[in-house]
Amino acid sequence: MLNKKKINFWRLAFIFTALVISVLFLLWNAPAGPKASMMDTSMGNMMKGKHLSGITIYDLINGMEYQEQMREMHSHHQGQSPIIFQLSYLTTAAIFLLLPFIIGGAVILGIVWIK
Amino acid sequence: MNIRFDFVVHWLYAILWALLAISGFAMVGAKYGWILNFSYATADYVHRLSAGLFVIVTLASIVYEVWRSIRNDNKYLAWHVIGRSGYQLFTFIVTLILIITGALIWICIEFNMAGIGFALFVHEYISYIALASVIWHIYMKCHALTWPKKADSRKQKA
Amino acid sequence: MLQKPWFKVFVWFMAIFFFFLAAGVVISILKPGPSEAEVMRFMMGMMNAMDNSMMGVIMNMEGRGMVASVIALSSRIAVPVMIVSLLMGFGVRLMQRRDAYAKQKEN
Repeated sequence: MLNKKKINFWRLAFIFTALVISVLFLLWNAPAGPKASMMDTSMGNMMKGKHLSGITIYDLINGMEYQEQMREMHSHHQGQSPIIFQLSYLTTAAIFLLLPFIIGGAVILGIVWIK
Repeated sequence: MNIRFDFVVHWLYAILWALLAISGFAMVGAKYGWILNFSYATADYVHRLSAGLFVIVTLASIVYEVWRSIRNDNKYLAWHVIGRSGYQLFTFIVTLILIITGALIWICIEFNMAGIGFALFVHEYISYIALASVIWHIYMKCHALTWPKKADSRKQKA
Repeated sequence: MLQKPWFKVFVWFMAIFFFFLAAGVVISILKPGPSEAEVMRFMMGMMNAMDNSMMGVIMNMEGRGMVASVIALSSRIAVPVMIVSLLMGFGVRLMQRRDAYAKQKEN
């Protein structure tokens, strides 16, 4: 397993494993502050727990009732500088206009590649 | 020096993926915030900008593949990021899933919490798998890390 | 290209970067749960992002009209693009089969 060709990989792996273990050791031994009672997991897990228990495909399509509430919530964020607006328009437009073409290309490649 | 399309795309893809990964993982949750020193705004900015570039690079490589199959060119491109088998196919599928769920997150963030919950969950877990696969890819392609024998190789070049 | 020293340095940089990322994720998952201070800083960062980054723009009133029109446009072109790509996929497949058949006949 530890042959000569992979020596650089194992070097990196050992260094980083040692780093991870020592950091974790130090962190678990550090005096702990007060534990958080909310937001204590990753965003994906949180969203799953909060919004995804007992949900069906129908709810994925039919979620528009939140819109009014959220509009109220976000109407006060108005202070951005123009460059952020422009970049945001540009990236949004690029992603959403190219997305159909990416899916289309993937469909072509899927059809061509399947045996 | 001839620069091949697939070679350039491979390294562009690697750089963009690294940027997306570091900024994305910094946004995953409070436990991960230290990666970019809790600067959510920076992470968000970098993630969105590189996502745009990532989509463009992906589209370019898909168009290149389609063009190749129209020309009936079945030659195996060792450096290309997408392909019909092995790690190339894995990259292709993972890229599609990440782009589609990312777009869902992008539009669903203002409404439809079910959509964003589902998309965030898939996006996060797929990126763990992809990161693990990158480490595996480095292991497989480890010969790229060996330093060239300096004396003779440089003399041959000169 | 792959033998150039500067490119080797770049490859090493990328490898170390990905190892750093993997190490960071492992540390983040396994470390003791987030403290109050961490959660506060994370939430503050998120609030800051609303004001100083694109997240706010996307969630914002003014962004909405534009985002909505782009999404409308892209969903309008999605169906024709799908149809064209389905046709093109089968077309390319047929073409390849024809070429293979012709090659077989030649031999």
